[in-house]
Amino acid sequence: MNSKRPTLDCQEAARRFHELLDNELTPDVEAAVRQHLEDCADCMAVFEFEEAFKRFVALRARSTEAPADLKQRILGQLDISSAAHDE
Amino acid sequence: MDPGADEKRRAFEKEAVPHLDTVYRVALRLAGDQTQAEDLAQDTMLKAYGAWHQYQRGTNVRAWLLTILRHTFINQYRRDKQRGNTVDVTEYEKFTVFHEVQEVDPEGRFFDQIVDEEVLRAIDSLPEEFRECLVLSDMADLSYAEIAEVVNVPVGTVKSRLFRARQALQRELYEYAVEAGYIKRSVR
Ligand SMILES: [Zn+2]
Repeated sequence: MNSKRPTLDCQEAARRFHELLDNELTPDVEAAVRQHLEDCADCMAVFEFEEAFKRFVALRARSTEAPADLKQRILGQLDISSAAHDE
Repeated sequence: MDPGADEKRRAFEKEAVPHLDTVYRVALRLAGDQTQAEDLAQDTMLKAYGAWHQYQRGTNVRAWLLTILRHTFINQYRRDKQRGNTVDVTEYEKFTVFHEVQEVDPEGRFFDQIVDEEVLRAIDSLPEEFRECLVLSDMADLSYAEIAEVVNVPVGTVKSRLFRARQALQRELYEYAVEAGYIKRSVR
């Protein structure tokens, strides 16, 4: 009997690592990639590296905050544009 | 006082204003300097407020704000289309750095030693069309479909740009880490 999940080779699995990390795979493809990762330590090592890298980039990329006075300036401008609407 | 205007203001403050940090971060990566980024973020938020009746409730407000931001950037701010572009993304597309570091640092711990400024500099060195996909995904958490709408390209294009952008960024940061002495280049 064939397994219900289609099997992927290493190349096909690796092509989908980013989509898996971004939650962009359909459930059946995701299951197939995860199955491959379970069965293949080489791919799992690459996947974990990519996962760590994505986490690293997201963390560093979000370290900057908007300057405090920018928000105040914007809120102040909203008052002006609300007032203009009222007239 | 017009009660409609009051309600609009409340809704905008509750739903849109909390995304100001994201709007500013993306503005900074597109515009490249702080003064411009502040102006761009402010223009974006005020335009969004003016067009608030066009925002479709229940859709991703971040994606909507960033669509306005991108339009505003392209029409009013972008002067030099070649900003960034110092990295040849096509050169790196096939290679993950993993294969070079697997013997010394398979978990990529060396990345953690790289400071924020260096990561942002590396992001800025990507060509604009790759940089914006990366930023919209990794900074703003948009889905591929949302990014496709914001930048007005097919989802498949988003996918391939994002993939290349990440590989190029990884390679840039690896090269930096080697030069800074955070990791030894593997001899293969
Ligand atoms: Zn494999």
